[in-house]
Amino acid sequence: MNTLTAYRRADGQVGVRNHLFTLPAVVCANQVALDVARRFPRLKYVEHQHGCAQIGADLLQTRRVFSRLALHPNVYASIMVSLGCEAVVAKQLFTETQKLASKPLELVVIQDAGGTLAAEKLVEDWLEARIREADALVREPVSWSDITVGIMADGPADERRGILTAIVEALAQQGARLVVPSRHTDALRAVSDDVPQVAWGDGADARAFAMQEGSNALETATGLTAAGAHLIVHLADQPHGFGTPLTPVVRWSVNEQVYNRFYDDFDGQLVDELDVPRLVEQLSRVVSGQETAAEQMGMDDFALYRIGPTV
Amino acid sequence: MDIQGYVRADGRVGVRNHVLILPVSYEVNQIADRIVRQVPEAVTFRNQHGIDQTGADLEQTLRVYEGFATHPNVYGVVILAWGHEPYDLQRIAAKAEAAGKKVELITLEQVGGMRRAIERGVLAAQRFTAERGEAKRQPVPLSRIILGTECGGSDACSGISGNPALGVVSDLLVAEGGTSILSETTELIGAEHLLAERAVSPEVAERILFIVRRIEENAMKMGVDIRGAQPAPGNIEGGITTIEEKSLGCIHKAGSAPIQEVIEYAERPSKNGLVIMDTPGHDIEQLTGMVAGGAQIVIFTTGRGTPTGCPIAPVIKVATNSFTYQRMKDNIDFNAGTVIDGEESVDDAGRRLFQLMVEVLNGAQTKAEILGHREFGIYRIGQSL
Amino acid sequence: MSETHLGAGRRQWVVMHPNDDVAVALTPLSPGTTVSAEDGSFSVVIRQPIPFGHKFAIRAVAKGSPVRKYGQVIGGATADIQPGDHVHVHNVDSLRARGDLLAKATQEKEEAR
Repeated sequence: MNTLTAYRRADGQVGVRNHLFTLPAVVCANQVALDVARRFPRLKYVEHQHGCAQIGADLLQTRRVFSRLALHPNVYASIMVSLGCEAVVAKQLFTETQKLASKPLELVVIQDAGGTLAAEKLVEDWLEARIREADALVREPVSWSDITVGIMADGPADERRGILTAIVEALAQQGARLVVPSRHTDALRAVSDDVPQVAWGDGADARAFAMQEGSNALETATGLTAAGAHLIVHLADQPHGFGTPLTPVVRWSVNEQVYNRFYDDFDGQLVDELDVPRLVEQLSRVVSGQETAAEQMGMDDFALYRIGPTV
Repeated sequence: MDIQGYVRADGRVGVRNHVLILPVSYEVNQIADRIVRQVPEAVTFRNQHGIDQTGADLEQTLRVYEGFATHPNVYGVVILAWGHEPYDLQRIAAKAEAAGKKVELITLEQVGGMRRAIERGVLAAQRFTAERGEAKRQPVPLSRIILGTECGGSDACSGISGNPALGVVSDLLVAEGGTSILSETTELIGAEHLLAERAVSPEVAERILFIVRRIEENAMKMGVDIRGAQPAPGNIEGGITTIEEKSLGCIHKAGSAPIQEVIEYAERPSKNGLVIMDTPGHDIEQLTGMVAGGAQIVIFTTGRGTPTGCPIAPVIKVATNSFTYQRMKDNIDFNAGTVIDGEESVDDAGRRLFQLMVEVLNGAQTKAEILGHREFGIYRIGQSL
Repeated sequence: MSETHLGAGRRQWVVMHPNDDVAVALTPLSPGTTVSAEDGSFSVVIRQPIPFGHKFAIRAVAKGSPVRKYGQVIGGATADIQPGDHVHVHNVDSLRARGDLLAKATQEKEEAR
């Protein structure tokens, strides 16, 4: 088995990537993140349509996920960009997040900065310093027990249970921590009698847990990232064009015809349980820095699972 | 009064001549992104919808796609799809073709992978960009214009300066035979009785009261006070205390014309004059809905300051106070704070804003266009509650 | 509806409608400042700092009574409001879209059952 390497964080967690992350706290701040990311390809960012006109549980869920993404272990440092008048109340969210943070965290407010161009300048100044710091870090040996793997699969859960169970068993044997969307809870029962269920994008103090899935695959992948997955295994029976910015998505086809046509969008093909060791072998290389197909394309998709109406 | 616009094959009038890369689901965002990096003259947006949607929620999303694909500000459209979306992509393409657009439909499934989809998309976008010069501006009456009105990041001045000035513009446009859209149903709560009095018929009046009741009841199902989102924290900081107060300030932007009809989110008005579109108060979801409904231009008043725009329509930003205008000059096109400062009347500010609107219709670039703003958001009605 | 003419020169405050209980400060107002209407309809002394764009009462409003601006009800007073008081979220509640009250009422109804 290869030695795994990753970045050790101040709080003892490890990151399999060393990202710099810009999170717009509200849709109105998207352009700042987008513009800076165009000039600094090193920067990860998300574009979304949320953060305002949200209430109740829906607003709380959005705040929780924003906070968890900013603190994600694959991130060296995060900068939130806020407009200044939004319902998500970025200043408060930032202060609360900062209390939990053991990494560089910053907030830029467009209305305080005096517009988007001024805000972009502030983000860039911050970023240049953080890039130097991040690039000075080196990977260190880690073990699978430091790593959380998110696992998701297309198609009916019943049809995937066998192969998912094999993957779960193989990774649990290595010592990895596991999170799956709730529809695949059964696959975790092979390694844990008690599988806690958490809300979309929330974490758990457990070696194996299930998360409320989103209304589509991208929401689920985003949720797994926020739940703490360092990387995501996606078993696909169709071609896909999305990837999450903070976590490598390792996409293996479970459909031979689809794989043959779209092989360059996949990381591998899984025919049956005999292929699982090959998948685990690839995961260890991805942990240690090998780029997935989605990463090579620079994919940076994001979708929030909304549980309340826009008001 | 005439402006200079593009008359499309379906008779609609455009004020821009965009090549739009339209990703119908999140599976093809990355493809759209790579195409506009290679063809920066084209416009696109980031979409997080289009998959695993059903019923009225899906229909509403499709109305947005069709509204964008057939929009008169669009010369040509590259429709990008995954191939497994649960709806008829050919129908969207056929509607765009029927509207006289240059159309290329590319599905990831058919072309066999992202790299090929990007190549095909780049070629189509380059072709449309090269050909779009054939469309020429010509004089068209202002009555062909649909104006979307919007206020966001409101402060106490919104109801005193910016919105009343926009109300003047709305009235002037309606007097010319044009169409003006009032939306943000949440921000009609507490002011709906005043609007119902202005309805052209009892049916329209009842419809106004109904959509406000519906959005209020939906919000109440969340079991919390709407204050905090409506008014938003920035609104409260700016002096707005309740949703009623915010609404009473908001409706000033609709001027004083009679209300002709109430239309659904992203639906096209069937009448000229002032109409109400049922949208949430969320600036971007509202803006997307009005533009999908055919608005060629949007005027957006802001108290706290907002930078946002739209990929296919010019958005004129109006500050309600001089402080915000000075502070966010890079993003804001017009200062209505002059009314607060006692430098001009609401009527004079409104007429000045009307002149700016005409210039922008004729091709002058807004700040949001210069900075390349591309905000986009579909109002989803299918969330689990 | 858009009859507002603030007149030449910067004003310190504006009343949007003759029936209003509140005026809007167009410049920050300090406690002790006297604000008088030209037509003599009211004269109040500002009691707390009023930030730009915020409201102050130009007449007394009893707790539980409606508060008017633009000639319309903008909410209900949650405390007795004196002329010159800052009028905002600390003493006025919305009367609309109160899901919190609905949830409370529903819960009480269930408990009573």
